[in-house]
Amino acid sequence: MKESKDFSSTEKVISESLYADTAKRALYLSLICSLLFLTLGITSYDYLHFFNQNITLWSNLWPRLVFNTLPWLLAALYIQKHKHKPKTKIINWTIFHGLIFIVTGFIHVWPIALNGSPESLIYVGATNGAYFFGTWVILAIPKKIIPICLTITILLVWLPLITIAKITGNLIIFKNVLNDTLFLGPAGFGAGFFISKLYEQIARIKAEKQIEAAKFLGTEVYSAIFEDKKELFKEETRTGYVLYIDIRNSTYMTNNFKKEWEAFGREWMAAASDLVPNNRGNLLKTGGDSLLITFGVFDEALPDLSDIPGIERDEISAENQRWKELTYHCFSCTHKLIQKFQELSKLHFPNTPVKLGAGIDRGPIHRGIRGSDRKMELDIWGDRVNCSSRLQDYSKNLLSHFEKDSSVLVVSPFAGDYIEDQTDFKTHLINDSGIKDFPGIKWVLVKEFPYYLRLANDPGVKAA
Amino acid sequence: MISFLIPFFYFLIYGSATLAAAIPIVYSSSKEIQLLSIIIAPVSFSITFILVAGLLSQIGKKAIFPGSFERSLKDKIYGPRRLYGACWTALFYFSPLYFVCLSLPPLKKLVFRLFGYTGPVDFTIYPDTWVRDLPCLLFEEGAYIANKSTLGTNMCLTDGNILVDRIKIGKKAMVGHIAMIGPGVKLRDNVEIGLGCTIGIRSTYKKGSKVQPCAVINHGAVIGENCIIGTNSYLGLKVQILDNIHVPAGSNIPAGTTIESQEQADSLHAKETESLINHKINVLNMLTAKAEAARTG
Repeated sequence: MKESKDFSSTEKVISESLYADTAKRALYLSLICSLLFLTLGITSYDYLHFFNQNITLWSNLWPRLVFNTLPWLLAALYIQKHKHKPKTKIINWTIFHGLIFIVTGFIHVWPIALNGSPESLIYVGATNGAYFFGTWVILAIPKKIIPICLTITILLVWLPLITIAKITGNLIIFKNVLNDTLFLGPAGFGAGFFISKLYEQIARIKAEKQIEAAKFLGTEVYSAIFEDKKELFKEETRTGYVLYIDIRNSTYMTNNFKKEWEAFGREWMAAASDLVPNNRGNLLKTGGDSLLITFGVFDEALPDLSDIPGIERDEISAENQRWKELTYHCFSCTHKLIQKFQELSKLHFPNTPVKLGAGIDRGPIHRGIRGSDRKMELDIWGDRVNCSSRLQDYSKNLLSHFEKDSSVLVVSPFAGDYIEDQTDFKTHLINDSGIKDFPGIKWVLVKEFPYYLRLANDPGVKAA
Repeated sequence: MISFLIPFFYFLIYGSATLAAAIPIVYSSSKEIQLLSIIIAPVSFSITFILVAGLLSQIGKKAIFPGSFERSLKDKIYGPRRLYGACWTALFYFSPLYFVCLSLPPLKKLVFRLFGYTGPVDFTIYPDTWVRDLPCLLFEEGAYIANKSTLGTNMCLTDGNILVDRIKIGKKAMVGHIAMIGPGVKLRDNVEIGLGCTIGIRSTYKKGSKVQPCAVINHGAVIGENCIIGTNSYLGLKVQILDNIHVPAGSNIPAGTTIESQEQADSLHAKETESLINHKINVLNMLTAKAEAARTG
């Protein structure tokens, strides 16, 4: 069940989605950098030419194209195509980014600085600062890999830059570069850390909303929407059981025990919501005091093997086995539900009998999505659904045959086919007004669930 | 028409490849060029062979799709299928060339794409792995198909038809040595099919499930996530095993059963296997008694 999704798996989902998103941002950043570093070949030409007259526009452009733009594109390709995990990709990307930075430094700027013009480092100070800060703010890497990425950046980016500034021998420029790096670098990581926390919060809210939604949507709709199993929304006809349950004297109970009745209703619905899925049923609808439950209609579809000759007998035996299991689940669930209902009513209304009417039918049931774009609902429909409701209604006519405070289950002749032990059931011939809309049904199986008061006080029943 | 075309296709495939290798040798103007032609002859033969077979397979490729078709060359689908099959088997049974194709990733990609395979090519397969109907196959990344295993995308039926269905092997899924996979089987990610297993038509194995050696699983089974089907187990038609259940070795699960809990799986094993073991013991006792009687009497 989706409701039982454990916390550790949620954490894993959140962390995986954070890494995947960061890798995606690294991809975009690589593409942007591939363009920006090429642009640098044009924009940096004038000041580089000022320091070194031998530099031409072309000699400034082609190394950046080959050693910056191309590696950035390769980094983007790596992120996009490689099978590494997103976490590994981010760490490797950090190494790429450091190496590309060193190569960029050696394209004219650092050689000029080392050849007696350390001021050239001041010209690229703003670009470096924006690069140090912007990269980590945009990436906003998850906190778990910040230490490793920070170490790589210190070793491959900041340390070489500071070392070059130191070697130039100009103390003012060295301190300037050191200050800029030590301020903007960690600031970038710090800002990125807070942004990543924000991303994490968003991912957590999304995951929690999904888990919350699962409680309301039910397993099928949840899987269809969040696990992309759209085939569950496909309209089709499946065979199974339909159980319709309704509380008989609810109007009387509402009027006389308002608050207690509400508390009882809540507990009853909670019990039904637990019992039904535990018995492989699907609680499809709750309307007022009635429940519409199906068995087998939302089970995983088994493949159609009708085109394979020679397995007909096996097919029949597999189908029989399926019906036997479904029958077991349907009837044991019905019994447990009625039993639970009577237990709860004993607790809440020790002196007032509360009773249920239930109807079960079996056969082909249509399932699918109904409604408009404004409101859609996973629904079932068809004769068997209507019939189960009518059978439930018919249980009112049987009160003369049973104790008037008993809960009564009415089972259609089709639904009785696979009940192995029918000793608890009575066959009731329909010779009065008949079952509404279903005149073809000439008999039904009926089971009485005596109310606990009578059950407890009746030694005969007790012994039985 | 088809029966005429099949030998003609073989003639074209082998003939053009031989010509591609021989012409440069025969018509070379100098001895150096002739020597060079002899050296590159195997390469030109192989490339021509693959390209001609692959291009000719395009004629029948459209007929490679799931369904049940009459096994007659006059059939609109089966006829072109045979043409495609002739092209593929020409390469498949040419083991040294097929082995080279599988060993060199670019060549493997070329061959598989030419014959209509559309999925990722990052999978491991051996020259003696039985593979047909490439458009009906899908191997996810890292899938491993052991040698001598059979991926039966098509199967001849007793009613004179041929059944064709897709086979999907998920990410990092493994199919063991001499395992048989039927048409329509879906193995999700990390599924493991052990040595010598038989996997029936249109059965589904969810993420992480494992079938241990020599298990036989009938058609239409659905095995849940992280399930283990024990060695030598038999699962009947349309058996369903819910997630995380370990079916013990030697289990015999009747057709149509849904195993919902570990207790249920254990109970089925106990009942069925116990009776088989008892039967075996009875037979052995009977034979021993007979042998004893023969010796004494």
